[in-house]
This record gives sequence, C-alpha cells and structure tokens, in this order.
Amino acid sequence: MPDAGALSHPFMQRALLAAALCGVACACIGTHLVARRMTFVGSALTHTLLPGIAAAFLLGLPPHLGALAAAAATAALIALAGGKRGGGEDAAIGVAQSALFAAGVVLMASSGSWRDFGGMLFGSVLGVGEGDLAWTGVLAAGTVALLLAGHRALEASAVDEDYARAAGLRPALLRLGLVLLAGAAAASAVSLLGAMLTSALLIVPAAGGLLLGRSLAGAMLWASVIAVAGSAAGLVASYHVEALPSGAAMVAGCCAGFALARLWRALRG
Amino acid sequence: MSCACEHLALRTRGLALRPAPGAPRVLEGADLEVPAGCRTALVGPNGAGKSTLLRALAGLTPADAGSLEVNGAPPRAGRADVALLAQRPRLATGVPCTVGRLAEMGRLGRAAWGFSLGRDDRERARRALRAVGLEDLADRSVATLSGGQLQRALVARALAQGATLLLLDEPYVGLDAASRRALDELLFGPALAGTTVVVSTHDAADLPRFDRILAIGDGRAAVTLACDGRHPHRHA
Repeated sequence: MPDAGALSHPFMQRALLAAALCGVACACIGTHLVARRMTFVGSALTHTLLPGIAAAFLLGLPPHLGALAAAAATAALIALAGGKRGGGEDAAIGVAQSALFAAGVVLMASSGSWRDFGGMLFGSVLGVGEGDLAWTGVLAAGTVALLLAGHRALEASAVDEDYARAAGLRPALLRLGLVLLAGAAAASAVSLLGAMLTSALLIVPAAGGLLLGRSLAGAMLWASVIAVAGSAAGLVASYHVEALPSGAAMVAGCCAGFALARLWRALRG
Repeated sequence: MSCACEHLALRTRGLALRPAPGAPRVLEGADLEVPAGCRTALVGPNGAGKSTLLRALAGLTPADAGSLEVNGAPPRAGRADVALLAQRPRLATGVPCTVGRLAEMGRLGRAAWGFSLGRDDRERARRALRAVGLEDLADRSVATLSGGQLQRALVARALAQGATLLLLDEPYVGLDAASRRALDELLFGPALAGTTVVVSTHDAADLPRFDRILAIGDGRAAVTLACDGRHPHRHA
C-alpha cells in the first residue's frame, strides 16, 4: 500500500488518484465484459483506440478525446459488421480490431516519427498532469454513473437475454452500449497505461472480482478493490524500484490480486 | 366446458406464423381460444410451431397473417401480464446471480433502469419465492440449482412480475421424476390459481392433467381437442 514517502510527491498523488478513478471504472465495466464472455472486446479495444489517440496526437487534441471517438467507431463497426451470418459478434469485433488498428498504423506512419508514440502505446502514469486527471475523472465517473443507472437492465440481459427481450429490453443495443462504455473506461486509462496495457485493467481485476462476488454488483465491488489496491501497490513498487515501469507494475499488481482471488477460491473449493 | 369463463386469456383468428422472417410458415389459419385460468397443454410434432406460437404470444414473433389477442390486446414485448419461460432456459452461467436476485428480475418491467429495487418489489419477489417453495434458497447461486429448481425459480420470477399468462416451452425436458412432480405441484397447485398456464409438451402422459389441449399438426391449423374441466383451480 502507498507509504508516506511516496505519497508526499504531488506526481504520485495524481498518479494514485488517476489509477483509482480509472481502476474503478475499468473494473466495473470489465466485470460485465468478462461475465458475458466478451473479454475479446477488452483486448480488441487496445487496438481499436489506437487511431483515435494517434489522430488526437497529430491534431494536438487530448488523447482521451481521440480514444472516445475511436470507441464510438468501434461500436459502430461492430454493429455494422455483426449479424447472425458470417461469424456474428466475434467476427465483427475482429474486423473492427483489424480495420482500426491498420488505420492507427497509417496515422502513426504519416507523422514520420514512431518515437513520439511511445507514451501513447505504454502510457506514463507518473507523468499524469492536472488536465489528464480531469479527463480521467470525468470519463471514469461518467462510465460508473451510467453503469449504475442501467444496472438492473444490464444485469437482467446478462443473465437471461430471452427474458430481457420479452420484458421489452433490447439486448443487442445494450451490448453495443457496453462496448461504448468499455471504450470510455479505456479512454480514461490511456494516459496512464497507454493503448497496449489498458486491456489488462479491463480484464484482470474483473476476472478476480467474479471469483469473489456472489452477485454482479458484488463482483464489480471486488474487482474495484483489486484494481485500486493492485494499481496502488504497483505504483509504489515502481516508485521504489527504478527499473520497474509504472504501467507494467500496475498490471502486475492487479495480476497478483487475481492470483490471490484464484487461490482463495481454490481453498474454498 | 367447465373451464371456460367470460374472459379469454388468448384468442387467435386465422393466425399464421413464421419462426423467422423468410422462413416457411409453421402455423396457418389457426383459430384458438383459451379462457383465463385454464391449464392448457400445447402439443404437436417437432417443427409444428409450438415454440413460435408461444413466442408470438409473448410478443417476440409477429403474426404473419390473422389476428392474435392476449388478455384482450395485441401481444407486445414488455407486457407485465405475460411471462415466457423459454425451452431449456439459457441462463448465462458466467454471471453471478442468486435465486433471490433472479426472482427480483421479475420486477424489471416495472422499473427497468436503476440500481436498487423498492421495498415493495423485494417483498413481492420474496413472496413469489415462498410460493414456489424456494424461499430458503434465496441466497443460493442460480448456477447450483437442479433443473427442476431452476424451473421453479423462473416461475417465481414470472409470479413476481405479476404475470397472469404463463407460457412454458417444454418445461419437463431434462427433469427427473421428482423434479417433474415438484413442477407439477407448482403448475397445478394453489400458487398459480387464477393464472392461465400454457405448457408445450411432447409427452402424452402429461395431457390428462390439463383442462384444455391445443394440438398443432403438420404445420396446419391448431385445434382444441379437449376441455374436461377436471382441474380444481379452473374459473367457474
């Protein structure tokens, strides 16, 4: 857990707050993705957000804005490419991932310098500024608020799509909404973890939370605990060990949380 | 016709249905009537259109021709008075859910959005679980239920919903003898008194218990075969 020495630095305070905010958002939406067997969406978002972030970089806009636009494009592509024939949603996600990642590579190549994109790919959690923190806070709070507002409908459609449809809900639209919210949560984390590591925050704490929670809400709560505690532990470890990259350390902390959850589940039988 | 009452729970005239757009019709020119409160068996060979008819009654499949009324109004998704228990319910096993929470989902149509339920909604779900004999299992994970217990939990969800027309698609499939008896006690017992129950089934041994039998044959019109009125909870 954070020690006094690490917490005395404003950059660490900002990093810890940002990690907690996007950790909770990613853990909550990630729980829905993992429970619904939609983890592929979490992985695909790491590729599909790339063109948005690259375009934002080239235009001098905040990367979060570009990531958000790319998340919307991801959802739209999945809706357009999906369908019962031709592989369904899985294939549509694969198509969106390939198309948008290729667009991202083209945009990065057009800048003439690949070195500029290092922070975009792997993030810089210790370099989070006030502006990044504000973006992260707004996106994370918005994601969690929408998830709470729609929890009953999302839960019912996750448990039993047929019943949800008969009750007047539209499960396919709810799934697209989840992709959008996952994109928003991922956008909240891009300045911390970059495009390549963000999916870990979406998937790993959620997988641990689902081992511990007896309800979807309980799993979201446990996932949030794993995300916040794992990220904080990773950040502090990276503060003390210079060779340890902060983003990778956060992911390692979350993986340790998952391992503990798995161990507890194994011991309980 | 002792199970008849003035109010019809469902009524079709010249009904034709397709299971999916562009698919061949599975039902054609069907004139059906089921009085409220009847226990009705829906029988017919595979592919005759039993599931499609139940889905149409739940508002999930539109009529291809003819008319269809449920409790005096055209069916549509989202009606609280109709509940469909699908064939081999496909509950997502990866989603943690307790029996109590499943029953509470019956209140979804009353307030689809939001995080928490009102006290009345929770109490109604609890009463529904008590009615189906699962109150003690409210905290159990749905994933640990037997097939029969799951069917009863789904009936509890329908009761919590306030459904007056309960549609069950092949509910006996995969149940052992004890589970079948428990489900029968529920479907033909006091918990569902006054509720119209339509059950699709393949098993001729099930039929004598029902007030009314709707038979669908060879993709043609459905006909009412019997209405013996032996059920004690029928409407007079």
